[in-house]
Amino acid sequence: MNHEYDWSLNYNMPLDDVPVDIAQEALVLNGDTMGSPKGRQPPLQYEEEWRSLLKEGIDLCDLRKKALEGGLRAARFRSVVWKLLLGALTPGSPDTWLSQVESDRNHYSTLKAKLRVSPIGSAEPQSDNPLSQDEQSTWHQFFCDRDLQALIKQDVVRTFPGVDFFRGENVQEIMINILFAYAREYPAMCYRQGMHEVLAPVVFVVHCDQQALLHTQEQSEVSPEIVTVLDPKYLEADSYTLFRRIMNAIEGSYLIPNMAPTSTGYFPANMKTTMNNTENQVVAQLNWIKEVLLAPNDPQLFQHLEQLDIPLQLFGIRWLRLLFGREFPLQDLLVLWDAIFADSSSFDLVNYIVVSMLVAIRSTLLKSDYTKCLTQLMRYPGSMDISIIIDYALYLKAPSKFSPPPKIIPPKVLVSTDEKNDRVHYHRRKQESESRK
Amino acid sequence: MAPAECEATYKVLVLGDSNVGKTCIVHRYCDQTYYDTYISTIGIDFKQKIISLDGTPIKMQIWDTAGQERFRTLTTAYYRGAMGILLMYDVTNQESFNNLTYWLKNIEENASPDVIKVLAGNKCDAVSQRMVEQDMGQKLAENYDIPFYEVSCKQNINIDKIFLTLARHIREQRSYQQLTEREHYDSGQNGNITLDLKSRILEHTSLKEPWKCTC
Repeated sequence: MNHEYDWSLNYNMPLDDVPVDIAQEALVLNGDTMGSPKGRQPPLQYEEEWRSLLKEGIDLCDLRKKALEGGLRAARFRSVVWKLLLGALTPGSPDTWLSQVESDRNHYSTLKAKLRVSPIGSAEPQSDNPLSQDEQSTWHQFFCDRDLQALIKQDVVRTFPGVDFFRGENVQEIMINILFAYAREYPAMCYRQGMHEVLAPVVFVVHCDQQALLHTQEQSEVSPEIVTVLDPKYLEADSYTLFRRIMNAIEGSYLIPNMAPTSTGYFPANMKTTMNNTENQVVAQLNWIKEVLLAPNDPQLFQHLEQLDIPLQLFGIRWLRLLFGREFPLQDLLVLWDAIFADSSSFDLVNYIVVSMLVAIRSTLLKSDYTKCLTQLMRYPGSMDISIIIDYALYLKAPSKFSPPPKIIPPKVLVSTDEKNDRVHYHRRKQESESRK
Repeated sequence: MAPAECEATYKVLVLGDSNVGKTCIVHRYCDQTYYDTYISTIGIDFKQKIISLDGTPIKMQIWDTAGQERFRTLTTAYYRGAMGILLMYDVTNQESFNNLTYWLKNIEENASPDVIKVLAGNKCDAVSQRMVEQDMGQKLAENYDIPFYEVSCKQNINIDKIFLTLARHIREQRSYQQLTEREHYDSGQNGNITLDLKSRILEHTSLKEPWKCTC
């Protein structure tokens, strides 16, 4: 499927290359594909862009607005913006940022050091040896680790085959390290296929920010705090910080009720596999989207999918697990993530994006049979205008605050979604309570 | 050939451990393409191919699953209406062979009891890396009474053959079902229906007609 996920060719750069001016390039790209006047403002000077982040208040009002409008397309501090939106940096208190960055980096290096198990020279060779069945033995741990790393590697080496950036051994090693550390820090989550593609854009964004810094430094002096925050030495640690926060919000897409994977990343082999009684959270979420969001907003499309017997999970599991990573080209995906992160810490917007994406191609879907429908949904047209998808999702979520994008053909709306939004949102409540921890 | 001309649609699931070549075999079969690496399948993917089964046009609807989904997350929606299963392992990966019993158990618990199964040992071109001998696969297949082929996506060995075998068995199964359904109808007329037969047929009709309108 090498050619289907065509990330922007402009970004196929090896890790060590000094990139072209990302901001300028993205702006051109923006002008070409979006035609949105919002993105056409002249780019801020590098330091000026940084200072605008420092000036943000605790509610990040301006930044959120900008993110929802697709105004971060050319941002050179996107990883910092994401940290703010995801709570890794405290908004409005820039004097604490350096210590927060340092503490997150320390957390990661401590975690990594703890995970570096070397069984050789064990103090208790009687009980701790390569043949030991004891689950506490360092040898046992060593073999489990090796299996898990092999499992992760299998996916990492296959991450976005068409993008050179991910072919570099350096980047692949960084990704394996991060996913392994995450699996051990969150054993109930462990490693599941798909996490590698949530991580990939994160590593890419952190890398781009660091490269933009290096590039700027070649031409002028840069404030020392920027140099610290975007220090290329910490690509791995800084990516980890973002990754685990994103995973925290979407863990429901991966968790399987009443079952924890073994430490090698496999699920217990003797487990009964019938799944009729306990539904996966991700399936429940997709059913909720269908019944509560899609049905009232587009009854015709809802009926059509029902009649064809196409449940949302056939395509939606991938949409949710990867946060739409395979549905849009990279630059659009990043804009979509900007909006998701900016809208709320529980990523509620995701549910509305699913509906928005369906409605955006409703005319095609409505005249398609089973096979054509599924093909459309499993290979979502990459040419869709991401700003329309976002604007319509925002409108669905809060019709009183946002107006629908003029280009979308609005289906007959029977019930206001604001009412629906008042309903108990199992997903939101759970995630918000978690993110407060 | 327009899909409307097809006599029937056969829904086939491809199952097996991660990285045994499930996506690869689907692409090789449906598109006649081959790449060394494929992006990992998340959830499920879908392709179809129209074949001529001894002169009759048949739509093969092939569902490509994610390897790490062995438990639970392979939702019933995937299994629903599956008429055939292509179970795969990698002859260069012992673990993928060992896990076949778990896959078979999973199939038994979730698929229709008369789903047609075939077993494929992929990457048989990789002679120097082989870990699982052919007779191992053969023996397992005999134990479970399912057809077995070693295949190579890379060198296009036995790919068409294994799908064709699957299609033929599905056709046989279906004609057997139609026959028993007719018998059922006839015996029903005479009031001689046995409970056993009845329950079996109910199962068939609910599982084998998934594409009908449910409204």
